[in-house]
Amino acid sequence: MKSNPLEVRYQLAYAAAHYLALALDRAHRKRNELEYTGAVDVTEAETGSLIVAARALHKSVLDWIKSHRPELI
Amino acid sequence: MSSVSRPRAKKDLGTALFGKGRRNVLAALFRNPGEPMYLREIIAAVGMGSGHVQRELENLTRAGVIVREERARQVYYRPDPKAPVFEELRAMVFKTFGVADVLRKALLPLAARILLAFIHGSVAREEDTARSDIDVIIVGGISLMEVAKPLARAEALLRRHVSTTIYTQAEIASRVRSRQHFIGRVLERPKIFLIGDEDALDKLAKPEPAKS
Repeated sequence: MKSNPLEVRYQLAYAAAHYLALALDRAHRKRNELEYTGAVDVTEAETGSLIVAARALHKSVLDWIKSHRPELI
Repeated sequence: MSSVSRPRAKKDLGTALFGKGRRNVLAALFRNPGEPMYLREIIAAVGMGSGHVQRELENLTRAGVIVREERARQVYYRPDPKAPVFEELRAMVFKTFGVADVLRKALLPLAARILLAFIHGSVAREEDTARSDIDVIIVGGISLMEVAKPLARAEALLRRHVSTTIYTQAEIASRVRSRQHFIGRVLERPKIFLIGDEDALDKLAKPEPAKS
């Protein structure tokens, strides 16, 4: 039985969003730890990853607004 | 004429000492010894039949290794800190088939791009409590996105947060050279290696030789 291409795209999109959410949650916890205890180290590698993740989120949100509420832009 | 026999597949220490079932029950209970688990939780964590798990729990309770408590119609089990072998079991489980093992397995799919990974902080010093985060350092060409999912799974299994710091090789070497306080403190304190070892860490943290 062939898988529905739309279902496959949905699964891939969900997986990508899930990874992004998990990564941002991890970054959020680290940010809180940095803010409240200062007992952590922040690295170039993580900052670079976070910027990539933040840009991906920004693009996702912007794309959603353009397609669902274009009057807001 | 001597015959050459092929080495058998390596058996993990926990299974060799305790058998698979008991090993899995000990792993579930000692991963977070301060947090009692109820019977169904243990069965789900162990992944074996309920009869088998209940027999192991009964044996361990009779031996005084774990404590059985009834609370609001639920039966809970937890390691007994007063047991004479509590510290030894805790250390053994931790280093072999407990927290370290869960994290090793979580990072294994990414191992080709991880030069080094280790647990540090209160968990490595065995001063942690049920609420302590597990602090892990990872050195390699790996991103936050790539570790997020495997570590989320590990956190669900361990029922504790895993706090990560990711360095590239160049970055950790640079911080060692500049005697950055955080790295200096981490390097001189106890560590539990997940990928690599102390020699690998020494090589990574070594300043690059001056080019002539």
